[in-house]
Amino acid sequence: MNIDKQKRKTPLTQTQPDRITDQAKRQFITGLGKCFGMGLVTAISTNLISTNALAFALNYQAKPLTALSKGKLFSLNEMKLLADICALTIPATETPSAADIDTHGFIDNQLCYCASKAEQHQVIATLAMIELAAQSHYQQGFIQLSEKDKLQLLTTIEQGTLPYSSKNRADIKQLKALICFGYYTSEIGASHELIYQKIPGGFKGSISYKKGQAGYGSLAYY
Amino acid sequence: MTKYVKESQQVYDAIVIGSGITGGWAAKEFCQRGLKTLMIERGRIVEHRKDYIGEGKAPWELPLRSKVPLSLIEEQHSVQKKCYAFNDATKHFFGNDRDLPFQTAKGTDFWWIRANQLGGKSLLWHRYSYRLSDYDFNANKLDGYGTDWPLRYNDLKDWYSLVEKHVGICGQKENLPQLPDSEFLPPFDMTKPEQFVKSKIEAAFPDRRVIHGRQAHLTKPSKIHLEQGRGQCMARNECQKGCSFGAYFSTQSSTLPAASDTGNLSIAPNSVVHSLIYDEKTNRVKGVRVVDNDDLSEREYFAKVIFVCASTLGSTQILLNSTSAKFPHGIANSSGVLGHYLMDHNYNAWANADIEGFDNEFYSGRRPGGIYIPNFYFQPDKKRPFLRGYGMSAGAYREAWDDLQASDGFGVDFKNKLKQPGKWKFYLGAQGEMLPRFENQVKLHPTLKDKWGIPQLEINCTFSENETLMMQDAAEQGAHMLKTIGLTNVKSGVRNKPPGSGIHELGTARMGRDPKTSVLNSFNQSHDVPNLFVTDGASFCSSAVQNPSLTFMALTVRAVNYAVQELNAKRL
Repeated sequence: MNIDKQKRKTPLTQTQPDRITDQAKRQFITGLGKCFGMGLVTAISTNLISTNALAFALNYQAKPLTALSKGKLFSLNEMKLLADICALTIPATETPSAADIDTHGFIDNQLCYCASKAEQHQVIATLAMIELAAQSHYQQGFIQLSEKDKLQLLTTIEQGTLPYSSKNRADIKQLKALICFGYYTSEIGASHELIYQKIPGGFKGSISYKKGQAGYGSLAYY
Repeated sequence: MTKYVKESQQVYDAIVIGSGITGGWAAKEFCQRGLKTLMIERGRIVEHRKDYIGEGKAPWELPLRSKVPLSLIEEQHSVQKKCYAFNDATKHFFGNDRDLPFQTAKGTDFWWIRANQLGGKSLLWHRYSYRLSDYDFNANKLDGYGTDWPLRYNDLKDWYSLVEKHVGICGQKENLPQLPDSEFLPPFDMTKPEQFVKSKIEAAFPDRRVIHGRQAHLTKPSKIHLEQGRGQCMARNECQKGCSFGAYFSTQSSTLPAASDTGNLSIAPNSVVHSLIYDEKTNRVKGVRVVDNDDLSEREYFAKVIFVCASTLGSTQILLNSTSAKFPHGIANSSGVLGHYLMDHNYNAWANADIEGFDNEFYSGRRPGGIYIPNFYFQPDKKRPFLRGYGMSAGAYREAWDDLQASDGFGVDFKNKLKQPGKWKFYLGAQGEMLPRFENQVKLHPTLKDKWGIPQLEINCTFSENETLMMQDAAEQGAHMLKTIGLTNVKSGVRNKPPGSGIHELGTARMGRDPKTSVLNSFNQSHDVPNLFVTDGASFCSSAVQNPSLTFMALTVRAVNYAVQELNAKRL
């Protein structure tokens, strides 16, 4: 390394904020375009924005059930099916159901950014497996079944007993895990259904608990 | 007030390379003794409070509910993602793996978890703070692995007290020979089930204790902490996002304000130290060569004494890259041991179980740590098939939705099940000492460099049979204890995470009495070059059982005190 000992005129300076300037970062942003569509990519790449703002660009907005539409990954039919499974898994009680708060839309978005292609395909395959199970058993599409039959079918698949396998059980459990993650990290799930302690004020090692009282939606690492 | 510098012609009294746990302390100690000090940080400034951009964000306030996009992980965090604390609200405090490449020797793996911004890993650490005992300092001498520590507990005792009072360590006095007590703030509560498990284990295993964890958290700030501008811990357990209460120890919350208050501190951020400037005529380090983090321009800084506090591997990398006619294999390396005897703690053994009952017991708040079983193998025993020992972190909790979501069922019953806390569970996780071995080493890669033109480190480190047998024992003992006291559904096992995963990398510039077999003396001073000091984990002779950071602080303060005496006596 050649150390240049000449005096430089660089003034005293603080750090610059994190800027997306180099090619690798642009390629990453372009890669996002596959999920977003190119309009947003242009907007992002022509603005010098911080990592934080990039995160904001990924922000997912919940849609009401009435506006159910095809997703980034899921077709319209897959979205409808997933919305139905969300509503069955976590129905409305005193708090909204998982479908009411667009957990299906959340899952679609989350898988797009945080799951590998293999994981995405697995979820799509699980939905197809459930649909096929409905056709096989009831000669009808899943969303056409009665609520009783839907629940019965999901329960049976989850048992993993014939004609369903331990893989079917594992796959439906994975789907449930996504639904639960989407619900219990939402504002409704974490702070209405459960108790969210934003700033607990300290740790109390012993408080009394009565059956039926809610647990905590606030966790450290999620 | 802190002065930030880029170009500087000043000859400082002291340069401190690094601004983490160790660097922050070194800078504070030099500044408070009246020395004009330049603290060099390779990364960007992170201001207390202002730059804690992830703090207080609920999961629904993050675009991917705390998860990081896969493409970003693959591109920039392929190693850092492995850390338990890595998520969307903390990722900006982790190193960027794309810019910080390193190599591992064929057939080996190493997780180099890094934090390259002001504050370093003091922003991310788990805050566990334990003193080492003479059982730790004696271990190398007793079984012959590694070189004898050139100091003992009595040499560090008062320095531990000094740093603990400033930092604020919560815990409880236990008077254990293998785990000296600290200056304590009140401990965090144990839950009732933890008290139950404690009394049962201690009754069934009279040589074992279950105690409060000891952490750098202000359960009850004293005057000295309030004067630092710090407040009480709110038990959010989201420390790694940054804490505007200053409730846990970090450079930002604690040592930096104290250093700044003196008016003697300058900070050079975005300054990647390439090598030390060595003057063979005087046998002194004159200063450092720096490459700018952002624009790759080069500059130099000068000082009378240099403290290398750049983290274990960071410090050794600088030393290895500082070659000269006198030191062709790295400065201060006449012994040839620089880079060798790399260690990490082994965290691979675990056990857990259900606790029946306590249905009407719950807790409030998220305790930022757990309870602890100190090493019960501190007395060597030839009957054991392995040397040295392990401590165990432990704790009880009630299952929440993230555990319960695996339950069978759909619908209202399922939702109601997840709404309520589930059964109580108890967990144990071992933290085992790793033997110092010459062949566990780092060296500079012969050809591959990073973007700053610095040779990449090649890390060659594997756990040995001793560690494997130790972890098997820890899993067995964990399960045995939980079964003995009547817990149910007892499970245990051993994972296969490699060195580095403990994030307690230690050694590679070890202390010792003999300059032929060590880099530093007992004051962390280079045997070869009197004004060169290394006070971070690189200086350790053994990994010991307990977490190292508190000892980093004590060694650093003691070394600064000595260095200033030597400076004043004109011996440096």
